[in-house]
Amino acid sequence: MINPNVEIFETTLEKVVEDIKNWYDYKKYHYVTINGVDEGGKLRIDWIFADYNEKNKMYVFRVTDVSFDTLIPSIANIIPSAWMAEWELRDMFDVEVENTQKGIFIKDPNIVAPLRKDK
Amino acid sequence: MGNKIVVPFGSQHIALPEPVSFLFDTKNEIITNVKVDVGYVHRGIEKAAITKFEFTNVSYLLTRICGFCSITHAGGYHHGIEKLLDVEAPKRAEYIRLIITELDRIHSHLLANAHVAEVAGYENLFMQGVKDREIVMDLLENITGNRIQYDIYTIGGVRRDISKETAEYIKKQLLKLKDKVLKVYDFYDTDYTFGLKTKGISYISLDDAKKYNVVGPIARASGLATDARAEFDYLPYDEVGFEIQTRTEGDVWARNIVRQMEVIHSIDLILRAIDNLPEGDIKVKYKGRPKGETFVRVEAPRGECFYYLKGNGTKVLERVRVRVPTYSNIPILKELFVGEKYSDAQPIVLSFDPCMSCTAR
Repeated sequence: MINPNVEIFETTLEKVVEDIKNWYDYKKYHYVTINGVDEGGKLRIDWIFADYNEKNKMYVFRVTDVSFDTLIPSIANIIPSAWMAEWELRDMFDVEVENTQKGIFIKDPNIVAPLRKDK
Repeated sequence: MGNKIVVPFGSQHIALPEPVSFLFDTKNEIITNVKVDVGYVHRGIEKAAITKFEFTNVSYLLTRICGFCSITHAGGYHHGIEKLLDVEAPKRAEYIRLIITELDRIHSHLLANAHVAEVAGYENLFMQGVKDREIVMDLLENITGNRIQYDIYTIGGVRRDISKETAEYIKKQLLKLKDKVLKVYDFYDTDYTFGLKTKGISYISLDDAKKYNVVGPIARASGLATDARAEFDYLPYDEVGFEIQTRTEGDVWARNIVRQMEVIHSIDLILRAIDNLPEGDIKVKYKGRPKGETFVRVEAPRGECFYYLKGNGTKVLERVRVRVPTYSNIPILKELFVGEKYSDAQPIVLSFDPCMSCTAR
């Protein structure tokens, strides 16, 4: 059976970019993706990383209770490949994410926020 | 001064197996800027997984994200859901899962390399690659009943066992395939004109591979020794002697060579798995409903595939997140085009072996 060793860093939307910037070392850690979960009217966002050297080790920067009308900060200045997950987050949850555009996956303007429970 | 032309590449293009659109700004045939659109085949799989299907049936949906990587999605989902249900598959089932996963990798890599050969001007080599791949497709059909959508995984084990006769047949066929693959490897490694078309093209340094979080054979061709088979415990790879295959050249040529090395290594892994196939059941019963969250990393043919599952104790999951390897590799692919000749766009794209069905889901 799999046994992921996940370390979760609880943080806030105001501090998350700074926290990731201070912690992230691209030579040691591997950025995996950004994940959103609708927790009933509020969004939970995970910034997920893995370790190149330690087996099964993963790290998650977690922000909970995010309103859907809040501007989500971008980490693309720290991790250049993060833009795709940020654009997807915008499409799937209809939230504003810094420096993103709509329409990477949802082309139909009639489909809004498919992963939100209230839409 | 120069001849500035905007050249569309895709979404439908003779060299592209799947729809993706690149819009190249070119100056004297050198690419100066790129716009990319990867969302042509978005089917709302993640939404359907948490609204239309019970957790027992979600696997059928996820394995249909992609024909090539269906076993990867089955693996990502089942290893996660088994963790949430606290059920452990028997050792024999884990070995059978490994055998099918590696057979899947072999046929995917053989076709990817054949595609690169085709756009480099080697049509006969493409046909040879596809012909060799048929050996693996027949084996998959023999073991699972299907050539593409295997559905061999089930919660708590696998659906079908491998008999002694089938095991002997697999060994015989794989030894035959290994001879053929080694000949093609020799060609990729030594052919002068193939090298002219592929060596030094779209170079990714080790540092850039890390900065852009490149995964799979693309990363390993740049010397980045990353592979979920070594970094995450999900199948008994340690027991069959898995080793990460790398090169350092970082170009189109190295990506083909790494894939070819991985095909040879996968054949060895399967042969060892068959020789050491444990006796016993292939499936255990489970009860309960998934509750909690889990994170899974599995190695698809194209690289690391990430799964996040969250259950709330009901029959329907609360969140299924799939992050596939091509999704990780698109950002660096976009950057790589700049400065290259437009005529090299085809081998560059195909050396990434992009899977848009997986990316868009």
